[in-house]
Amino acid sequence: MAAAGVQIHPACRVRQEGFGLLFYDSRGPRLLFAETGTMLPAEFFAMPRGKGDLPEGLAERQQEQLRNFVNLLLEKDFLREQSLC
Amino acid sequence: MSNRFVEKGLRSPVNLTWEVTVGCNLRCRHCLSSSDTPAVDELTTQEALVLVDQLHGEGVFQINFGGGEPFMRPDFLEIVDACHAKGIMTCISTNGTLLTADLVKRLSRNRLVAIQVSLDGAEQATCEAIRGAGTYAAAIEALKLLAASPIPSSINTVLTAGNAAEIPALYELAQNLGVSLRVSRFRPSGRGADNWE
Repeated sequence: MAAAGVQIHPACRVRQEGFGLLFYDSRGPRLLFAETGTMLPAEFFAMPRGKGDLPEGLAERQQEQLRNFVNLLLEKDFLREQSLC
Repeated sequence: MSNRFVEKGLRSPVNLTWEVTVGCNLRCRHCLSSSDTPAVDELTTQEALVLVDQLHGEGVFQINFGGGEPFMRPDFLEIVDACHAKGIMTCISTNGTLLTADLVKRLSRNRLVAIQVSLDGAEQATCEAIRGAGTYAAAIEALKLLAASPIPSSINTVLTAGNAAEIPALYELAQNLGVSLRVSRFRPSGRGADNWE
């Protein structure tokens, strides 16, 4: 079975703001304000990523925060799962 | 919007409305732009494409095209294509009179566009009292073309005293056509201010 990856939903966009990331979903439209600071680059999920992939150099606590955040993005359909192959 | 992040200020708009022309083939009584013939100082194609570049650089997510009737601009598809090439989502507000099957097919090439068709009454007489003769059938025809395409489409109705009672019927009409319904507030500007009463 192909490995599952995550990528930003085609109906969504994201950009860097001073507080972190601003997600936009044109299907609402709706917004999601994420206080991620500079932990997660806006373009990180532009390409398919492994579900557990995170930027390098993060502390354990930050990694945990981001993993929870990625789950939230999936739950709210800003990210979608797809095959990596 | 009450939001602590927004109150501190975002770096640029999330989405914006761009009246690409005030030229229009209709003379709707409530038109907030008093659309008629194109203004002499409307942006050239080159200026419009530069603006698309600038808006992309600022991080704008979506541009809502209105007017006037956007499809009156001969270069409108070029402007829309430039937005899509940069990943900017678009929503086009149109009266539907210029939409053809070929145009809908052309716009269906990517999934970055949504289209709203103006319809100001569930009954032909109600709609045409505001928008003029022939507008009801043209809008319905456009909505049928769009509903058969992958383009997310909706009826856009400006709420007025004349059509308020028909909103439930408009909702039903939208459902029957397979599109959604968006009810907009009346803006007392342009001919809308002149015809307020």
